[in-house]
Amino acid sequence: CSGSEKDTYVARDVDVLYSIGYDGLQKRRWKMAAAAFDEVERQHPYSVWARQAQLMGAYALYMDDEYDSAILAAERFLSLHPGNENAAYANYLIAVSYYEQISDVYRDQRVTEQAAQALTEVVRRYPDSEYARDAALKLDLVYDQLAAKDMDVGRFYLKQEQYLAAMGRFQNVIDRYGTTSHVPEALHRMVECYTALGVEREAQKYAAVLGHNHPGSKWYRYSYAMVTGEDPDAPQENRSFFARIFGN
Amino acid sequence: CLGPLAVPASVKAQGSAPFPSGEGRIEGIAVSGIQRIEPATVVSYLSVRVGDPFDPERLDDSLKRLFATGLFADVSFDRNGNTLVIQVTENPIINRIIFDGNKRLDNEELSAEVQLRPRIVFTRAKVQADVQRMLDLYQRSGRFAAVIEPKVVQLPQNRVDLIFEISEGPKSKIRRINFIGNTAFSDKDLREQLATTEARWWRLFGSNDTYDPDRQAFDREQLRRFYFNNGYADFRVISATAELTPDREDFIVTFVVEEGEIYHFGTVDVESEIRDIDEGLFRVFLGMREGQLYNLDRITDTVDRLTNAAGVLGYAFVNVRPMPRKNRETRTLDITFRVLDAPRVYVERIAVHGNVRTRDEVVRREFRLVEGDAFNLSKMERSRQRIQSLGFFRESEVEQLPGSREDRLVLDVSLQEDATGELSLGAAFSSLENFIFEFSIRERNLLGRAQELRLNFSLSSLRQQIDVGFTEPRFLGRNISAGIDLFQINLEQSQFSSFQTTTTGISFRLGLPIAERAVLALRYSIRRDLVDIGNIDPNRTSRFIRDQLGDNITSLFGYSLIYDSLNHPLRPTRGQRAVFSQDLAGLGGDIFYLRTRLDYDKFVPLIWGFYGRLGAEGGYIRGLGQDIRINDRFFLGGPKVRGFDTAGLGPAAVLLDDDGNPIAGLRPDFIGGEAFYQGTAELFLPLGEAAREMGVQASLYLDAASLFELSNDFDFEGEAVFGDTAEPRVSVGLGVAWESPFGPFRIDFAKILKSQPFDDTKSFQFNVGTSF
Repeated sequence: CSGSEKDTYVARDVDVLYSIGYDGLQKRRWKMAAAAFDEVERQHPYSVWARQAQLMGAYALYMDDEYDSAILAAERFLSLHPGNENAAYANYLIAVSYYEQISDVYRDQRVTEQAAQALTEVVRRYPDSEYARDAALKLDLVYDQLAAKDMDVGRFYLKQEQYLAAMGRFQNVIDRYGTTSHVPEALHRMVECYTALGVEREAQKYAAVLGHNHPGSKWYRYSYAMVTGEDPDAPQENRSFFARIFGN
Repeated sequence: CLGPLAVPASVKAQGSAPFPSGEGRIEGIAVSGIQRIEPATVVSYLSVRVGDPFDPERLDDSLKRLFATGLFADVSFDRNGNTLVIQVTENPIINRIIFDGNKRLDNEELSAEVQLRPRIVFTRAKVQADVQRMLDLYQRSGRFAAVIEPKVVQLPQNRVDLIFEISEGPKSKIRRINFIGNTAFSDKDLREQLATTEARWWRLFGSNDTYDPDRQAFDREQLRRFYFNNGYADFRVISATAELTPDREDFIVTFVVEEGEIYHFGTVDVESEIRDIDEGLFRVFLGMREGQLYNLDRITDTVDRLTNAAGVLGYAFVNVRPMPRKNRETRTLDITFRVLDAPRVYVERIAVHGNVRTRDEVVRREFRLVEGDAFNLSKMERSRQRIQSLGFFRESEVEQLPGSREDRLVLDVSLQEDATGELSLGAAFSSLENFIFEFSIRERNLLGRAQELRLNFSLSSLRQQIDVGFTEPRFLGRNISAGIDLFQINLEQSQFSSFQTTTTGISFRLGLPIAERAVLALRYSIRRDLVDIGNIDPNRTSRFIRDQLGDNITSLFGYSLIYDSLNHPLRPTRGQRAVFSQDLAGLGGDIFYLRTRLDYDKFVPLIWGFYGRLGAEGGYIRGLGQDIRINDRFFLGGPKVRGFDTAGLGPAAVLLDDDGNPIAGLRPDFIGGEAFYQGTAELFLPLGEAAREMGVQASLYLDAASLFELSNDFDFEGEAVFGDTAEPRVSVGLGVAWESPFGPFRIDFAKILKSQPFDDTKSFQFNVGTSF
């Protein structure tokens, strides 16, 4: 057989390949490990090691910060072995690969949404696994991030005096991310918006909810001041000229 | 070792015959024949579980599901007591994919098309699909004789090497295009409408002379449009055939058409189901009148215009349907545009994606819509344009996605970020002695906040310049830009005149938007100018210059009115930009003048991808109780006026010998002017999509300019001024510009049509890293 493929194809025994991969993991040479595990699977797809190699390869890619490839590898494992005892781990690996790519709240949050989805999957499908606990913990952080995003956009609209647009975002935080740390501020911002619009009854309603659920929070103090008119300029943080230009 | 592709036993999943049915429930499931896949995987795809009855329908469904996974070559169900026995044969795994015999398309191109990969499951269906994909690829390049045969090599452990044996065959060209049934238009007229062309030996480039069925379908549509736009409302393409020539090398394409009669528009009207839409008002958007020749493009244009108009009123998903009615006797076509009922739609959410560096608010604040607003198409389009003109994104698209309710929509902005940092290292050559080294760093989107920071440093034997600038586009959160610049420039002007200046200063800028596309810019600067003769021989320098040496402070306040409707900040093809500026020096300091400038550019798309630029610029400076000093005068030349050296035209002071003739071998001193004008007509050539993506532009241009006016008394013995005239200098030429990764790059060839005796001309210019 002749081929024009310029592929470095060297046939090797399964245990040789697997130990190269395993060695790579030990020595933290992730690229080499990933390549070796790939070869195990390609050359010896029916050996007992192939299945394990698939997952180890995904792990090596994850450690190498090749998150997209790690996700693909783990998904391939899941499509072949959805019922495998390690499926929980593969799902977890996908979720963590998304999770680690989350950047700050001021930029694109697509991976945050993907992480939320993947983490939910781990918690929902493998509730008893050792990964579920960690996934649940991470999920809280991810929701907090998504809520923070809504808060950021909401505050942006509030600054622009686009109260309806701002309220849409704050209400979303209250409705969808009700367990996060952003809820007191969201409630207070609703008070602020309604006050600015002159709908005092609604403002009082939100202030009351805030007072009932978070009586000790500083946001309640601000809302209280705003509704009773005692200290109107408290909630607006006064920041220095340079902080406005260079900070957010 | 090659064997033909093994056909897996075909499986019929019909009827209940192959299914173990009957009484009883499934007590156990046994899977046999698996090698790689676990029993649990097989079981997970079943729609029956232990404890379920032996239900033929659900077993049939399970069987289909197992096949659908693509993991198995064969599956059968059996019953052993109350145990369901599943016998499977796994599909092999692909070890390698090899392409053999391909020349015109390389392995990479084919691999990109092939969906199978090493380490995935081999199935016959996927192989066939891949063969078809590759054949399509070959046919698109005109190779209809291409044959691809898949071969498999069985390897141990149920693996295969997959070999695609390719025989590409020759390219099939179009030898002739014939038309039958046309009387109103000649074959030649019709051929011009088609994308397909007849093969000719001189057509070295392009592939439109190869046979492509997709292109033929497009050609049918082109013919229809051509006739429909010329009044033939009954036109039909009866058949379009492509026959191989007897020698089986080329194709002959034949279109049989029926032209029918010429129609004119009859009554034209608008009907609206939406109450807010005033039919009378909407009539102004109609693109045709009664009695005009029938024209299909006008109908589609009208539909677009009506849809846009409805979009402006907040009806995003309105449907405008043209309802034509043909009257064969009068040969007229009545048409009614019906605006179908659609709910008013609100923006639920504006989601920004793809902004890996740029902060959300930088994009969001360019939006002319906020969440909760009624949707408006033109505002959305304007928003997209504003985001694009930030210049941070290679691509920006705004998609309308359905929202959580029927009358809500989500605007999804997907962005692809462009590099906003520019590091340019430049060298500019001049026909005189100098070689300029330039280094500048500029970040237009500092930390993703849309702030601009710029550091410029340039060095040559004649010029040392350093300047630093910072701009915040939203000063104190308001829609005002503010900036500060610090600069020091040492300039030895001996390239074109005999003096040198040292300028040190600071300036502050503010930009206030006064309308959607108009900005008022304010500036204040204070600077110190040292004008010196340096180490130049005073005897070879004009008295005019020697009289002006000194040290001055200029305190200057200025404003500009800017109108800008260009469609792209860096590479515009449409729109105009006008700038009117005035600067007043004399709020303190010891220099007093008023300087006025006007700058105008208009870009117009022309036909066939050509587009043009018309530019005009002018300036006038007037001293207030004092003469204009040489460093404040205007200088004009390349690269703005192509074909001339930097500051290479305008009034030049020349030393005379005793006979009153210019001294030979002495360079004239350009002394600048107090007024200038410049006009440019430029035709940009269509270089295609690839060139545009690379940032390459080529243009033919005509520049006309002059620099003149000398209000100072010029009455020095042994000297004279030449070239102080408003008569234009004219050049024509060809230029190529490239926005290279290393900075802008430009080559110009110019021919001078008109110049003055002492102008410094340069017919070839080459610039790297210096933009203008």
